Amino acid sequence: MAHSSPAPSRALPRLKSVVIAGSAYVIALIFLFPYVIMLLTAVRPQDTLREATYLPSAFEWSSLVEFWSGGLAGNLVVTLQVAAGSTLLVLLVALPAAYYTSRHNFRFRTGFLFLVLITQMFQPTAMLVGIYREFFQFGLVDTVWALILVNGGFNLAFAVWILNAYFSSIPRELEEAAFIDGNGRFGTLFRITLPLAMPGVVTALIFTFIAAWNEFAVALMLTTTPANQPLTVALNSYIGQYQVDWQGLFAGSVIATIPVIILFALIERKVVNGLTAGSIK
Amino acid sequence: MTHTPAAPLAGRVRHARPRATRRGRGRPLLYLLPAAAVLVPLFGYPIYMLGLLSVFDYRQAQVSGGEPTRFIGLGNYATLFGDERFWSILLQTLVFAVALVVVTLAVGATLAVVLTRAGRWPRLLLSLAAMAAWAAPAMTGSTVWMFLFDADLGLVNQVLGLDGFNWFYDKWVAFGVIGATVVWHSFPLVMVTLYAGIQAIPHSVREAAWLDGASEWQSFWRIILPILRPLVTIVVIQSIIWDFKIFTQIYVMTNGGGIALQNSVLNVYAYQTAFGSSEYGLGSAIGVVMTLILLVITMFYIRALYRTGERL
Repeated sequence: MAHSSPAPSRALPRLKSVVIAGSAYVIALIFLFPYVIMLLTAVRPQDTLREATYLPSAFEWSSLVEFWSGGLAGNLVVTLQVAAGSTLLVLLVALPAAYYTSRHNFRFRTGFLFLVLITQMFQPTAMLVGIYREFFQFGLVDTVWALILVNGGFNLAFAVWILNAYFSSIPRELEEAAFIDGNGRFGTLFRITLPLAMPGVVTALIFTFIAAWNEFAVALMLTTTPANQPLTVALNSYIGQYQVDWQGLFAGSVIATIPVIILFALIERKVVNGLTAGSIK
Repeated sequence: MTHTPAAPLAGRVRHARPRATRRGRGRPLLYLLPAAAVLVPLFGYPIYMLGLLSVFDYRQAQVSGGEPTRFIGLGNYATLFGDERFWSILLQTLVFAVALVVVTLAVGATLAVVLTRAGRWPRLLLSLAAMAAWAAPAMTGSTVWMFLFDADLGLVNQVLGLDGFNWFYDKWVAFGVIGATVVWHSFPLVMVTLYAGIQAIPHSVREAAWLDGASEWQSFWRIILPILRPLVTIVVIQSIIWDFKIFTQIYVMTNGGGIALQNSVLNVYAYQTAFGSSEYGLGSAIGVVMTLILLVITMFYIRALYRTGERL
């Protein structure tokens, strides 16, 4: 192979790559724009919202401070617990199931995968009456555990399926070779299979974390004490029937979103690294 | 047949495709039980309740004990199918979902290819933008877009010079704005998944296509897509399911479904019927109908997969 340089830059004429880069920038800016608005509105005094200026004439940082003093920090902790707990639950439960179904042909294999998929057909909003009654029986209403269980359960199907797809894409021969080379069953699993499936694991992880972080409808019904509510529900109180506290809402939204973006930024590199390092060549 | 548990992998080298072995009979349980232990209680009882309530006259009066709970068979369904509003909401749910799926997939796939072709900085910025959109809670994302399109305060009206134009008054204009918000939220998953998949395709394959003179368009449809079929399958199923049961964006942006529920979809309609009007029985019936529709869609898709010879 004479061409060891990255394929795209070599394969494309100069103009084309400029167009691609340019459109990538434009699209990215459009998609980032709501964030700009969110940030600007968060620090723009509420009474100057009607001024037809693009940039605030005055900045008011107090809204960001009020987030912490107003008790929303506790809701942020709840959100963190729910997101981390559900992600852990999903990975612990989905990994063995996905691995086994990708490697073994057993009688209920297809049936199992179907059943898992079918759980995706149900939406928590339609099942809220049953969910509420069930958790009430176990004294879990208005607790973090209820939210962890619901978010974990409703995101399990996606994790099982995506992990199954990734495990299936790893050639069995690789595992066999590693096994013959003297790696034990677990050595093969942890040194060969899991690293190769890492992009899938990370995708499942990000997906579950974000879904649990952002969940709204179930938490709205299952948590009644303000201190036990995740951030999405707590922020909802800024939207009044006749008036919206845009400044407070967006200040809270900014703070709610920053940790996730940082997490994403850290993980995104891992995804790409995992792919380039462990790609099947 | 003297398979020993110690040498399952070595034994498999000879058999191209292993069959279910007697030895492995107890093992599925061990791997699948944790998943079952989460799913069965979490879905079993609520689904049972959903079906049960849908055949009962169960409203506020019954919840408070003022009236006895009465079995009415398919009465709730009869009420529902005789209601013109139900049919119009069903239709707009389907149209809206199909439009969302198509646009989300087109945007996500295009940007995934752009990502593989773009240089370092545009790629970084585009990833950042996608992550930011993905990370935004549906609730806060909806409020930002609502604010952007606000009749009096919104930047869109300011830029376009449309003073006081209400984007949420006309049904389909409102659906357009909500749709843009949903796509903004949902394209990153498609983009990231397909991008990860494209990256995992060995360079030699893409190289060969390039050497054979395939255009970008051809190599996407003829090479990338077929190789990524399992991933694409998942992404399509996910998009259909999510876009069909869209809730938060509509609920927040149109204040619970819009004027006379004009922007409602089945999910919001079910919620409003059950919790807005305390018609729990009727709301459950809508939930059942919606679930059945999703089941049918999925079955069609799975059958199509089998026909193309895809291994589940």
